Amino acid sequence: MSVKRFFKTAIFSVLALAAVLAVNFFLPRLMPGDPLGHLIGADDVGAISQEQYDEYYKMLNLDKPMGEQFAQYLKEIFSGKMGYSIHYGRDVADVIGEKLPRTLQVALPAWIISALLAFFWGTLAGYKKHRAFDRISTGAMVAADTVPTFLMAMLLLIVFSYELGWFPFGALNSAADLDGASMFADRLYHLVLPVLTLVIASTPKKFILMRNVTAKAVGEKYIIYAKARGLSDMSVLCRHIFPNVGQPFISMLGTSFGKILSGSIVVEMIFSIDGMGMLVSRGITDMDFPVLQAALMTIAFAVIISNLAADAICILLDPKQRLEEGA
Amino acid sequence: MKNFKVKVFFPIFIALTVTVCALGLAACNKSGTAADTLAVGTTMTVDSLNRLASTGGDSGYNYLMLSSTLAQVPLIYSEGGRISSVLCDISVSDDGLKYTFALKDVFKWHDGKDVTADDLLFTLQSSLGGETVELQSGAAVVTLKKPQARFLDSLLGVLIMPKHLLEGETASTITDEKSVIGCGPFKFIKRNIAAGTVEFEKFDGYPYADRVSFKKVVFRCFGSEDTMRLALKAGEIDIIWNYGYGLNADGASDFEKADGIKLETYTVKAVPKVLFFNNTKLTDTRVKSAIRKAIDYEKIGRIFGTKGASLPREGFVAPDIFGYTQTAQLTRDLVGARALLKEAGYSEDNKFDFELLVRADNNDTQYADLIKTDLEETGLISVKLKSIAGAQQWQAYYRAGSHMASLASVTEAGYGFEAGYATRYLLAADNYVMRDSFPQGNPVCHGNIDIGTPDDLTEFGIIRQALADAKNLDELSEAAAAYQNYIVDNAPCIALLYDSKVQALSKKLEGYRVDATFGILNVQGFITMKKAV
Repeated sequence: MSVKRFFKTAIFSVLALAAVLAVNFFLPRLMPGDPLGHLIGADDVGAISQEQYDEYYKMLNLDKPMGEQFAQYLKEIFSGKMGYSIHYGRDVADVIGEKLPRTLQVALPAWIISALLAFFWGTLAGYKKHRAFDRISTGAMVAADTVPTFLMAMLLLIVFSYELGWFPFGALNSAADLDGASMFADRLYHLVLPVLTLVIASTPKKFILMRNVTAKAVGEKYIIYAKARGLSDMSVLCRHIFPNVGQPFISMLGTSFGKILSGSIVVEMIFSIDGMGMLVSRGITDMDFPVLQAALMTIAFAVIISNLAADAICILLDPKQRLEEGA
Repeated sequence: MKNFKVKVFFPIFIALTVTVCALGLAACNKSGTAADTLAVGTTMTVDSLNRLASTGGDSGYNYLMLSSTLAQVPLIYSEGGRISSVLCDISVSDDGLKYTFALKDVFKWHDGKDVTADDLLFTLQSSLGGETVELQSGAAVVTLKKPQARFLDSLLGVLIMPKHLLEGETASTITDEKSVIGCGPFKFIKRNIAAGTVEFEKFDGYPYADRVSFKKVVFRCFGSEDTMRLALKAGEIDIIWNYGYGLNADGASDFEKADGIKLETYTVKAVPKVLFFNNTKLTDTRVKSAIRKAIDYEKIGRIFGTKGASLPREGFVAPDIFGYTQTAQLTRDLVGARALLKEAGYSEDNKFDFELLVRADNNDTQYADLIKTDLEETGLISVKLKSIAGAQQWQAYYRAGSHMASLASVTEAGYGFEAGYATRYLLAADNYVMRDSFPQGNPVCHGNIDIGTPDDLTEFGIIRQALADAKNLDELSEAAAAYQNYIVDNAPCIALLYDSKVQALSKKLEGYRVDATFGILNVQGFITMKKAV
């Protein structure tokens, strides 16, 4: 990817973001039903008055034509507002500001750990291709990849929380009053299982990529020559293989961030973490348009930015790409 | 490579393992279940403490439900079919028109102020629309326009409200500090979002505080029912709170073999699943009766019912409910079903097209699949399932009246609403009875039967009116009999099974009592319940 191509990609990312904005607006509105239905009495619960209903209807701009609603939505986005949630009774930006950090506490460590694990382990396996280490590792990764995230989460919960009692059943902290280092340690303790779930769910694909790319690189002449020169395995790996297999890995890292965020929806439910995943899940059942729009927008934005960042890093790392245009 | 393993990989691995274990031991704060703390699991999330933002899906609804027998006190409760009250003595005049509510003891609000007759007056005035409520000799007196045998039933679930805190407040003005104040045996302490807990501590100002054995009650909010059940089995929580909803058959069987867990079964008025016809669209009684005959109720009971399940009755009302009149037990009769369908003009070449509206986000799809199989075995019905996900979307469909039939659960509360006996589920979306309280229409109008106008009632309207106007138990019984006979003759709905409620709790809990609305976690239960060491 040359610098010029990177800028093209950046422009396409902006267009993708625009498309996401539009889909984000229209998709929730395609759902049948009254978005205020949960307030007017579903099943046996109470109802609001007609005046209140009309007030909420106007607050959500539902009384306006679709085109006007879309224009208002764009205006709010570009002025940094995300709308008002009737269900939560406050600005959506506040709600997301509260929930996003909890999701990131699970997603970011999982992303980093799975990246490191996949990178080193996959490279080792590729370097030792067809040997016992490679076969066992690859087999284990393929098996792990077939297990759905929710099942993995439940299995870990059953084994480590229920049977062994080593870890808590969920949440981000204990109910006890803690502060400072105790609270931090307690938070880490509670994050072990949810992060482990996402690591197990997201490592296999990256591992397989690294393993295959490394296996291919090992057969290259420059590697054979490096070994023939008597360089140690460590030197061969660090100086010759890592730089050459880094680029596809970094590209994959960019796309995997979005997958980890979507995987966190299931993990948050199983481990009772009140983050973005639960927010989206409840937004769908409550037909909370502003929350859905803002949450999906935030996730889409994170995915696009992480992809762009990955592309930029690839250019910085690989001189061939920077000089491609010149050559 | 060996150097790499020895120098880099293994040390990192060992360091990570030791760190995590050390962190775990150092930060080990298992909430556990101390003897003086009751840990309650729930899948409800508490997004807000605003008790005035508590209709339907509003954020404060869940908090109000959780605290309704703990920090708040209901005016009355139902136990063993009898209406009782912790808060007040209730007397009824001989003509059945005056109900007097007099406070029993000195109750205090959690802010230290006394609960007074003014609070009773404020509560009753807020809850009762057109009835006269006034203070007389220090008691709140309700004067009805006409006697109603079920008047007290209509007050089930009403919580006494602090006038000095709530008068003049709205959902957007009230503060959390005011909102959480109640007069129950426990007072709200804090909501810990990171831990997913809502904590209450014993309120010493409660008149019966010396009998309350728990110092603390902690609600733990779980994102998943499966995780919550595991936590109960592991002893992390003592009981599951589900607003009187019991465990389903899967949940009950899951706990049967669990050590340390016991199951409590109790009878309730709810009907777990009902097939409602849209009686404005599907008018041929022969077809509805044929469908009633074609369903395999024994199979439904075996699959979905707990051990307390029983076969339903043609008249809808279960035998242990007041007002039950002897109607035939529903059993499968394929021959009879086919005969009725043929009489209605259907044949193998001209099948009856039956569309069933099904909610896809609960177990209705499983019921629907069974019903489809059963009906199609007649050879004269072709069933199409219309699956809708989400309460609001589903509600939009049947409120529009375009459905042919739908499945719904009749809850304990829903059973008693309005004229009672789940009549509300049969009324059309627009009916004169509910226009004021539900301007957008009846939220559970599955049966879609027109009741007419006050001056020109339909047959069902007359029956419904008789139930609502019953002045005493004899009249109520008579009206209930007419209602059941109407259902037998016209088949507007079919109860698919009756079942008891099953609640799972730790074997350590004892001294509890069961309330038909709130189950084990009821206002009396919190006073008498204790945990064995």
